[in-house]
Amino acid sequence: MKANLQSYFSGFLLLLALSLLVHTYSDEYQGMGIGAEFGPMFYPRILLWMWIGISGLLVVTSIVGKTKAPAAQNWARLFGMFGLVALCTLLLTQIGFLFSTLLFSLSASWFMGFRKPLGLVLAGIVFPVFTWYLFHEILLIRLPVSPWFTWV
Amino acid sequence: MEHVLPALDLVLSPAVGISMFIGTLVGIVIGALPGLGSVVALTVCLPFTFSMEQVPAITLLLGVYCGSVYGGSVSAILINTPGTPQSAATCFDGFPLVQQGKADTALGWSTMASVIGGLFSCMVLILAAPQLAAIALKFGPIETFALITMALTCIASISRGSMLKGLLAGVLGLCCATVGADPITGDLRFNFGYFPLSAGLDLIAVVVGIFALSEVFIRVGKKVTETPNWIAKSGIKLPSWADWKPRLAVLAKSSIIGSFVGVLPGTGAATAAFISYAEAKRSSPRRDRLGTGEPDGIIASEAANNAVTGGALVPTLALGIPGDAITAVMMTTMIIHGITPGVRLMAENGDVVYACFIALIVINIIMLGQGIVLARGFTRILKTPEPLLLAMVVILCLLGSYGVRGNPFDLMVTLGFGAMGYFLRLFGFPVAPVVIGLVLGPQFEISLRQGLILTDNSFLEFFTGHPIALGLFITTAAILTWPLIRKFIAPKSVDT
Repeated sequence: MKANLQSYFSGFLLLLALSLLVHTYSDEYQGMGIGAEFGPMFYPRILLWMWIGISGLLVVTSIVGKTKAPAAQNWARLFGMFGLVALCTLLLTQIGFLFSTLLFSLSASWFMGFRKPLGLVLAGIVFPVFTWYLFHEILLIRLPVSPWFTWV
Repeated sequence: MEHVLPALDLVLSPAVGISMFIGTLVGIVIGALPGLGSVVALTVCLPFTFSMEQVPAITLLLGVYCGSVYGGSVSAILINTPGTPQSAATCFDGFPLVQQGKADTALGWSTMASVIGGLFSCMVLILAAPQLAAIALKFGPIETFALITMALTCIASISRGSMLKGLLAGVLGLCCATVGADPITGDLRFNFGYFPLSAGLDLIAVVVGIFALSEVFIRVGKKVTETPNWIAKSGIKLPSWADWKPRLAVLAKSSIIGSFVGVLPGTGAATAAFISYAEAKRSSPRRDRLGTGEPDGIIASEAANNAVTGGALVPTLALGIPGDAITAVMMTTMIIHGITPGVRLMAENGDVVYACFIALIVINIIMLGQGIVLARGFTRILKTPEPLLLAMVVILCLLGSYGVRGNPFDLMVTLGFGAMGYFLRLFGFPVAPVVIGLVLGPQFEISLRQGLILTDNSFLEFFTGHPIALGLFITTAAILTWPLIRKFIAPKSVDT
């Protein structure tokens, strides 16, 4: 009987549910739903108690029973990619869709080990430009623009 | 019949024709790329539907859905790596045929079986959906509450991984649906003083994050990347009538299994394909040859997984209950375009529903044509390098998330749910119940609270005064307790 990654993850979910349940009793919800038999927190509390019950059971079963460890991960590659996606997400509204996706596409392909110039040009430049043109200019779905140019 | 002519008029427009053609083509291509699957195919195509009319948008996604299920068989046959989980059983006999130098024959069998299975399921959908919708008109809030309870339990219990994890994933989805305004009093919940959360979590942003973006993270995080070291040359050779004749029974049985399994919530095409394959292994006259390149194996798997497409749409359209992640995304698209699947759908949008039925038939025929034409190009598609593919998927994810409301907050939601989906999947939690919980959450809450008002706050009356609800609750209890009963029975049967 020992703690493992599965039990830590289930424990984290349990703590999250407990903190949300405590939050439902905070002052901001006290004045809500006056006159109604069941206030706005009636249903979420039922769900949170279920969440607590199930994640509690998962903690117990992962400690007592046999659990399969998650597959080994390439954390450097994963966090690198997550960082690039997060950066692209942040830059999207700062420097516009076209420039941020151009930067992301080239850097992500390079980061994941792709070095062929033709492929980099096609996926890193042609694809974002084509996507931007298709959505922004043809389908007229307005995407964020850069502070330097009014049209891109 | 009153809906058929207006529906034909809708389907025969050039915009619908183009969207069906492109949707099927894109579906086949993405489905053929190992690991991406139908849900990713649908989510990356979502942004394209934002500026489209109702019927072209839905038919585009129907094309993607059907095409991706078929496309999965291509990589299963040519490189022994199923493009989608539902094509895993196709590897058993498809790849041995390739090793015998008969890649064209294998693709011919899979194409024909997919098309026939898909067409059969269209018939099931056309016949069953209106009947089910007519019965569902008798449903009040209590019956709806019982039905959603049963559907969520069913989906959670059959999902991959443990039942507890499936249930927790469903509850997580239901909890996410409570963010924002209370559906009855309008009070704001769980916005933590942050204004953008007051409008709730956008469904598309969540779906794109939890399915497509988490898939990218899962693939990037893998220590060993599986790249096929050789790729078979492809072409296509359609089977003759003489080849078909002895195999008609397998085809019919597989199509029936696929359609039936498709109707059940939470099962999906992969389950159908394996049940059908097992049945072929049990009853086919050529069962001894199964696993060595016998076409019966390809027919069983492909007819069944494509027959799921129509079957899965039955509860989605008639009851508003998506049976799996794919139909949840389909349902989301319909809601975005002002169509609410459920008991009133047939009465309020009969033309659109029948247009979908007709479109599904046409899509299956288009799929046959495209399968034949694309056969030689499959080798090139399968050679797409993974880094380029993943970068393109991320861009389409961000576009899909931002494009619905033009709200930068949705990009954060996508990123957050991408990370959440990654960790849930890493620890063996199924993610489909999260999305289905999120889709059904508001209706579930309203049904419960309206039901309590109707019964004067007596939850006991949910069981006593409503026989349909009682039947559904008993089924839910049976689903929940079945694993325990099975555990209890199993050792006894060994002892005896």
